[in-house]
Amino acid sequence: MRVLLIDPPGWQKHSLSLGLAYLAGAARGAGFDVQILDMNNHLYSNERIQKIVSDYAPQVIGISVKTATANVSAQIISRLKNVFPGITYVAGGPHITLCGKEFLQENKEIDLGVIGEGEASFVELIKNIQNAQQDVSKISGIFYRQSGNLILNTAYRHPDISKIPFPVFEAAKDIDFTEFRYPLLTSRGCPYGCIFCCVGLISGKQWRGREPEDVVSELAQAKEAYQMSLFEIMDDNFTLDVKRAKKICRLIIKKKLNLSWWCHNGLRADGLDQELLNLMKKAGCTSIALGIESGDESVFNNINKGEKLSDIVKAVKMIKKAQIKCVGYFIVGLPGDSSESTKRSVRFQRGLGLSDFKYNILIPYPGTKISQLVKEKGRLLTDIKGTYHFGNNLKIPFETDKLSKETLQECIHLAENQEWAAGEKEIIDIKNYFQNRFGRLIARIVLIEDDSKAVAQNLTTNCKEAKVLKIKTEQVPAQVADKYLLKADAQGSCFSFLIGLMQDPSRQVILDLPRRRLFMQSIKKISSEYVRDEILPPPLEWDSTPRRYFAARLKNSSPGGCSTKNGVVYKDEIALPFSHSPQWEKTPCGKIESGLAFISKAAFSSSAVYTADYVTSKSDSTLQELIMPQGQGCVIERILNEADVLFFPAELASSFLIFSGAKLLIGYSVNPGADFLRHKVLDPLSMGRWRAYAMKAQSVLASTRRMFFSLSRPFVVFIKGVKVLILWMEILVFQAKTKTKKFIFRTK
Amino acid sequence: MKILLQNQYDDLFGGVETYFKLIKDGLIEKGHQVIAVYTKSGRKKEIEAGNYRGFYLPNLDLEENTCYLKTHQREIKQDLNRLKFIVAQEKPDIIHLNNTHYPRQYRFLGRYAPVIQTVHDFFNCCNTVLKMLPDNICGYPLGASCFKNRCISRFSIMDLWRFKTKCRNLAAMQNFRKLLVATPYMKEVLLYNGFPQSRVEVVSLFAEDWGIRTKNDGQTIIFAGRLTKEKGVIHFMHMLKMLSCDFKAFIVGEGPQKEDCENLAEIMGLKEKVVFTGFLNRNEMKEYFSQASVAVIPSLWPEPFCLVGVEAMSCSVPVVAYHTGGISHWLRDKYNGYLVERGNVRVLAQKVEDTLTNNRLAAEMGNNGRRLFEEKFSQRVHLNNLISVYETMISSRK
Repeated sequence: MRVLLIDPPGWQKHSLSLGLAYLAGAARGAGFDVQILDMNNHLYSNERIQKIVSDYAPQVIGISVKTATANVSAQIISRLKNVFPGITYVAGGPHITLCGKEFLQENKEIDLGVIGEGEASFVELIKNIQNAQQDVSKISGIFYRQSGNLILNTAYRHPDISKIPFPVFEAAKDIDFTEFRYPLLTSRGCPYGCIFCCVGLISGKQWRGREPEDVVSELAQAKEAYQMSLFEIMDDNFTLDVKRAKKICRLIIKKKLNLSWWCHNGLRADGLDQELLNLMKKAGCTSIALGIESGDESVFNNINKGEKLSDIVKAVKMIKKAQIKCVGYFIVGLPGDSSESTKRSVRFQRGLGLSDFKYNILIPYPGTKISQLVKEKGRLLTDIKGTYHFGNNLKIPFETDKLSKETLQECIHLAENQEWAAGEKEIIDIKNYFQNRFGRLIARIVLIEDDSKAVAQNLTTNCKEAKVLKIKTEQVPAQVADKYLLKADAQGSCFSFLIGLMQDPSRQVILDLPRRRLFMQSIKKISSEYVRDEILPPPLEWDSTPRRYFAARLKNSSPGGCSTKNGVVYKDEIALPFSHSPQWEKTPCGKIESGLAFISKAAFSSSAVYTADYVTSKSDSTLQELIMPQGQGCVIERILNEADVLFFPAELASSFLIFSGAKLLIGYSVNPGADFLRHKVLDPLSMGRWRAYAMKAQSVLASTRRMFFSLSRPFVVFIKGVKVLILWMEILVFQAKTKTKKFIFRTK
Repeated sequence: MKILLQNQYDDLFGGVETYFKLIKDGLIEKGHQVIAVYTKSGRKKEIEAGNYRGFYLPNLDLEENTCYLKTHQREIKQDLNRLKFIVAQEKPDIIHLNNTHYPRQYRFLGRYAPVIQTVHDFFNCCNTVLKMLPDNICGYPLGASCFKNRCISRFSIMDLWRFKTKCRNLAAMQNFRKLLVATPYMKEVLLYNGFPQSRVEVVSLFAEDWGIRTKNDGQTIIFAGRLTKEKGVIHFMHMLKMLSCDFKAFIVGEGPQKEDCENLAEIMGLKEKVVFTGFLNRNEMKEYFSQASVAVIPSLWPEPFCLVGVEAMSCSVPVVAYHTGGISHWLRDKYNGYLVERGNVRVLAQKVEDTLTNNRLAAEMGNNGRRLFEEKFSQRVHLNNLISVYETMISSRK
């Protein structure tokens, strides 16, 4: 009998669903023919799926359903059911375990559901189907329909995992094992009760570990079978039994498996000790991820994690000491979260000095305490059966009475754009300084922007009460035909008027520094132009620097493809998937640049033709010069006179800006990566400003000197002429001195 | 007789150095006392061996840059004082300046002893050193004609400075008691540069006796010299192309035109027949000359002497050369070789071919050359001439 297992699209790429591989292993062990359709790493059209099903002609189709892929799974099954009504459809996976009843009631096309760890029950089920026995009521842990009713056979126990056959990955057809990251499960279950986590509901609170010898023999077998050099531990809690974890590491070292691996799952900060970490390093572990969740003490204590924030700090220190990369996972939207707590969290994370970090949004998975909380005190904003808790384009899934959607959005923005944290202290110092000196808060800020957006972000985050006018400095063409008359508002303020104009996000102010003129540019997006079918070189070459331009192209949006933010790459007319979180997959993948379309090794083949789709949007910008009414002076000077604080890049310290009438001048420079803002306050009466005046004088002197040297060619000619003249004089004097009169000017 | 000899190197390097070493050894052999002053050796030191003393004063050899930029003035002054001290202490009977381009700095030596200078080249008689005009040989003295012939730009600082310096040097050379030159041609040049007849004396140079050639296959042509334009190496290549008989050519030496010559050889299809030996020391050169059938000297510039020709003569090798400069002093047409009109490659080729094909004539010419060498250009003759010059100088001083 043939069984087709489907891994629906929409989860993490570059690995294979471990659950399905385990199922395939168990079913093959029982003598069934199993194939896995991996729709996660490869894109299949409906027609293609139907062709595969009709070619393979399975009697049972199983589908793995996660909450994030529940909707798409239902779609796939309903389409298949229409074409192949004779096949038995079985759903399994975490979503079925968490809320299988609702799911199966909504989707009548699915005949049976398997909950929990389905290796035993699924095999029993297909045996039953093969033998055409109608009575499934004796099989434990399944949903079945009887005369229109959905019945859950509850006599389910977590299986003894030492007896489960090893997973079989070659059941998936298209998988390429050259740089395959082998998912390894050494234990199942976790006894802790973190309020956002659904592992306890799926794998059970009872932790069950495999024997270290068994684990290592699986690894050895896999290495031989797939020739892989990487593996990843997928446990829910790898280090609950530290002795066992150490033994596994020791065995890996002893057997000289020579594999590099990482552990981005199932490590708790309180379960680590230096000996274990050293052993892990020695066994080939290159990267460890910790679920830090929040850096705010009160929020952290709310989530019932069972450890302290100080444990995290200690653990990170130990991991660094063992020379392993340390990655931190954070959650935004936990109970008690606010923009302030997110700021604290970001500060905490920056203080840890992690190799990498990731902020993800909280999804109230069914059955968790969080979902109850949301039900009681808040509401869901989206259908979570299609929402990921990670990725680049996070949707806000819920809001509560204490945590509004806007706050959550702000929190995510703060967490993802952390420039505000660099120099936060300095901005607050400047604020306090201003308040002490002038007796009021800063109301108007003019910011001359440099390339980095750090200061702009910092000001919007830390100086909310002030109006910030952001000005770019750029070269403006000498002839700008259009002019805009800038008037003062009712209070006579040009600054406020201009701020009002700048409410329109498509407008920006540009300063032409040498000419001291201000311009306004409005950018209109006219249309988007759809470009199709560019033949790309083989993906392996994309990593080389000259090929990076593909990245820039693919950064634009893609038409009706996988994502709204990425271009799509096609291999022989089939769209290849992209990853939401490519930062983990730098090595095994032919990625272009973080966050962009890239291809897993599985999709590489030398004969394939790769094409790319991308969209370019044309923009039209109109430039207007801002002018004051007749006799009211220069715009930029007027605005600077009204400003309280002028921020400008330190390299402009010798420009006319230092003569502005702003109450406080700040020359700043941003060091990328540094956690502070280098700046210099130039008070009107301070020595600093006098020094700046001196610098200005110096620059004037330098320009004069330059002007002089531009005239230096005639000067050099002049000097040369003088030298020649002197030589001639010498020659003539010599001639006059010599006794023979015609010594020099003699001829033969 | 106590003689102070000045030279650049104490090592054998080029023709001039060989000459210097040989006369030094010859003079010592004849029982004269020699004090040698070397002006271009690495370190300051003193050597003493028998009746020969050597002093190294490395800063006295001026280069154009040093002279123009006036660097190392202190060191130069120190060395000059040292030389003054040496001369005052040793009290030589005669001072012989052998190879100096800036004789002005030795003016003071006249106070201590009669000074003789051997003029080996045109350094102080020509601003471009080569005495060549674009289409001809220059026959004018250093002076207004240099401007007329455009050898000196009126507005170039460097050219004017050179001119001034050379004029001053020539004026300084007027103070020396005798100027020795190798050929009558050189004497002529000095005469029209304003030196009186009595001050300039021709004392022919000499070559080492390399012995009569050992082997003659009647095919080997040799060219020796810097591979530069004025040495006419390109003419040599064209001459080879015109030869109709079998031959093997050796081009001895290095120079800026080597690459051009190699390319030319390839284009002309002479690659098999022409061998570029590169720079050779004197022993290796002796090997080549002792097996050559004919030596060719296609020099375009007026050679002051051209020692290579005399060396060929010493090996009884006939010489075919352009008639320029001092070559006719030792090469008599149809006696020990052929003199060909300057620039006439066709005739040059014809004469070389004559020499190669007519073995009897060639052998006779070689023998004539050897005889001439023994009579006029051997070390013995030269030393006798030199010593007689020294003696007349000393006696006239007394």
